[in-house]
Amino acid sequence: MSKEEIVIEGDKYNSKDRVRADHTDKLYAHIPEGETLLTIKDLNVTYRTDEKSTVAVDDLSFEIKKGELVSIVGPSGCGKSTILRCISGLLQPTSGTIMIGNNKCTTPGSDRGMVFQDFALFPWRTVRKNIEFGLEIAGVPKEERRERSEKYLKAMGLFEFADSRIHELSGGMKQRVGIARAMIMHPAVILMDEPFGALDAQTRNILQESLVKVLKSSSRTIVFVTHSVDEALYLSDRIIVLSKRPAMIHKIIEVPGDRPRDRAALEYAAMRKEILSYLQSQNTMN
Amino acid sequence: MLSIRYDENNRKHRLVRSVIVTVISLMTFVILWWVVTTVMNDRNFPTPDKVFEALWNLILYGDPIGGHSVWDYIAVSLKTFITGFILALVVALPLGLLLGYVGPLREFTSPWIEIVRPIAPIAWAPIFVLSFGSQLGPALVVFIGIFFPLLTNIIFGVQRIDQNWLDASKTLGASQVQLFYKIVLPATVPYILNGIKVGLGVGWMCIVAAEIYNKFGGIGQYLVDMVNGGLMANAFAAIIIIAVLGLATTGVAEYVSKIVSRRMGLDA
Amino acid sequence: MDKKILTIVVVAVVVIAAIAVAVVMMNSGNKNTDADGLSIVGRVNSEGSGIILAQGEDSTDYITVQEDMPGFGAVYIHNDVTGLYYVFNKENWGGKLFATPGAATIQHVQLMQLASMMGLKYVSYTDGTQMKSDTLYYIAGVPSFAEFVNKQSSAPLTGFIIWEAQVSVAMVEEYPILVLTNEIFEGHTCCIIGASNEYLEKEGNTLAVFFSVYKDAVDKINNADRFSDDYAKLVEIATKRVSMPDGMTDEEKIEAIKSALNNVTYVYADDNKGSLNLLKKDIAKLAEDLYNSKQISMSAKDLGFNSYDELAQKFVDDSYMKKAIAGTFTPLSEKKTINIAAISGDIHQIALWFAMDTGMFEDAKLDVKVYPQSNGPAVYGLLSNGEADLGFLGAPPMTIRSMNGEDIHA
Repeated sequence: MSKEEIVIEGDKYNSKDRVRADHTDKLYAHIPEGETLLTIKDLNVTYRTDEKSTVAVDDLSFEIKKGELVSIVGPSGCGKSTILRCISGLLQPTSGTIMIGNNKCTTPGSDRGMVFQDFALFPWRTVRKNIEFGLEIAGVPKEERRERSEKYLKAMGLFEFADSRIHELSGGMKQRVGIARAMIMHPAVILMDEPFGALDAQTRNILQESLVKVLKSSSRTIVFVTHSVDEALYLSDRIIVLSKRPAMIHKIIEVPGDRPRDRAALEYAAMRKEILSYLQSQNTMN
Repeated sequence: MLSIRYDENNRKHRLVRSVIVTVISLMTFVILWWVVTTVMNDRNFPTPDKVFEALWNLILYGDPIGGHSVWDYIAVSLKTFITGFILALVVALPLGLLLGYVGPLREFTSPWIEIVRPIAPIAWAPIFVLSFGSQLGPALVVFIGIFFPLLTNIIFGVQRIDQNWLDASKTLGASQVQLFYKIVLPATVPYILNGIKVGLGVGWMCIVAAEIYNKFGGIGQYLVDMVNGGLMANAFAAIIIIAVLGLATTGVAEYVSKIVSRRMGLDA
Repeated sequence: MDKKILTIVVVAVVVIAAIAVAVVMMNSGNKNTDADGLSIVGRVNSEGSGIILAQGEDSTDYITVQEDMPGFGAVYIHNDVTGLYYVFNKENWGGKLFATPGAATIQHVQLMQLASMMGLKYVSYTDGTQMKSDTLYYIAGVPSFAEFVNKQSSAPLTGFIIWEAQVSVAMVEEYPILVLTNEIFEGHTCCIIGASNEYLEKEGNTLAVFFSVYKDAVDKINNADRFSDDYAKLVEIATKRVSMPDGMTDEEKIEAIKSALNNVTYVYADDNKGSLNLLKKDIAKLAEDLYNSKQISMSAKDLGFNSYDELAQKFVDDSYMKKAIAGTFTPLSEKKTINIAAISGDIHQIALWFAMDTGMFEDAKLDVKVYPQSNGPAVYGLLSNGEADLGFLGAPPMTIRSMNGEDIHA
């Protein structure tokens, strides 16, 4: 157990203090798989400048269940990333509530880990040290850190690069590090903001498959923002389709089929067509 | 003549080439100097042969007028320089990090910095030597020269930190204090190193100013004494020595900078 | 290939530009040609300096004054005029630190002569110097009593050799006076008047006019008794123009001025005929001594003379002073400007200010512009680049700079 383990009375803890601990998923062990873990209610983000105010997100509400991977897709600039940043606590919404279990989320914390589109890795640390960063923060002792990072290095295929510098890696490898860094913390929720957006199509597919493999071995709750409908269909349990700005939920689609899925399967083709045509209509409707 | 083709990837070739280029460059410089001074025919600008003779004599026999070896003078100047440098480092590092990190504080102190910074160190020299005595006074003149470039580089560096790193750290549970030690500090290192390099150059410029008013020896004072006495060849020899000292300290800084960069993986 | 050609072109351009600049500068600055150069044309003062000691020092530790001839092996100076013997206690001088106003000043040279007389080495004090008993140490470049007091907090200063009025200021501030230079170097040359040869060639007559007025001023100063108007005026001008530390009351300042005026001997030549033969001897000896102490890098031979006497013969020109005294010059019909560089705040040069402030120059149709400088080398600077026609400065800086700069040559 990590040094900074939070003692839970029931399921209450003060999330006004930034949460600093690993295995925050354990805080919600009492919530069974498939039950609601993350609640977003009436989320509203309005940007006010001197001249006018723009509503980016308009009274959005949805739920994320424990153990599921939910994708958020929508036309460009609709506010997908904004929603994610609100959940992570890096952005304060204008109004609305975000709750994990019975606890409100207002500031960033290790219970909501994040994977970034441009990797956000620390160039002055080795690959191993990047992955261990969160554990260091949580006060996990050295031997345990080492042990755990070894596991992830192997699982993500980074073992030979353990002591390399970030700049020596390709884009795909860098994002593996990013994913490992977030996952090793076992956060209650993992937020992924177009994590494969900066990679070429082939690398993208390979990383999607890696992610699926990881999900096979441990249950994770993931909110996944993406531009790619194919990616959403390949990875998600559900897809939230947003309208153009101000973002409102157009439809929530259940995606059947165990992972790993056959990308070319016909059932997905229909869904793909439906989502794409909706998005296209949103894009041209200016 | 040369049947060897230059191979860019061969380390030995690269080394030889850079040596040859440097030698030819310096030779051209000396020839140019010779031509210019001979044409000028001005006693205040001696030809290179006189300067090198003076330099040679200075190194071998020291200063017959003052009765000291050149190493005595270099030691005095070096001591002043290093004291000033360390002082600047010790003050600018924490202050720069603090001001870079804490916006309102930076705003508040900005007018103070903008007013004091443009004042040339040579203007401070008589005041510092008078108020702080001969040990601390000259070192403070060097300090003021190094302090400001170092400070501004550090403040700039802190502000330039990639927001993503801070965001990522927060989502991994970092507290404000941890953010500072684990992100702000290492991310600012390249700017600190750059600030040091710039500051070192300025520091040597301050040595002459510091020593004019202090009059307790040093290569800068020797330079001024030689100019006052009209012994221009000696004065130019002193300039060369100061230049070499400047190069040496910058060289050391470069070396340290390379090592630190490599260790921190910042030499992408 | 393009980049290499570009490099060569740039280098060639830089080379040509540098040579062009050199050619332009060829027509200015110090040249090695004949029509230029400097001469010494008159005296300003003799004597007028002294050695003061830090408070708490006892002068008899350093010099004892007696009427009888000292014993064998003693180091002493005999004053021919008063007959007194000044005995130097060498053991107490070794390992001590004195301040001087500058490496090129007469005071510095005199202290060097004393050190040499006592068989002591003469070495500059740097931070961290270990003081050895076979050496007399100096800090050069302390120009005033106030600076001396200030430097005492940073260095173990025993004493200070300096010009008037600083010696008198020290006396008023109750610092012990060890000895005056009148006592051990009677009649010694101090400040002289230098002139550019170009000016002499063009305006020799104007210079003679100037000297006639200057001579009158010096005579007035020397003839003024304590109760005369001239004396009162002199004291008033000196108090205004001589630099003294803040914190002295007006009475103290006047007291210091009067004492200083008493110690300085104002002159214009060796005698009242205008001869400068004694000055020539002084300059010859000074040049040789300073060449031996390495402050001058060109010997008389290097400059084309067979001896230092021959050098002094050319360097010192008394013809203008003689003309002025004999009256064989043409008075000015229209106003002429004469640019003079002088040392600011210096009581040695007060005759110049006395003549200025009492309007003596105006009467002779001379428009005298004085450019005050902080020290001798600075005065030399204006002389040698032509901005000043005349310079009032010490004999040592004039000799050192003129010889090093080859402003005097055969």
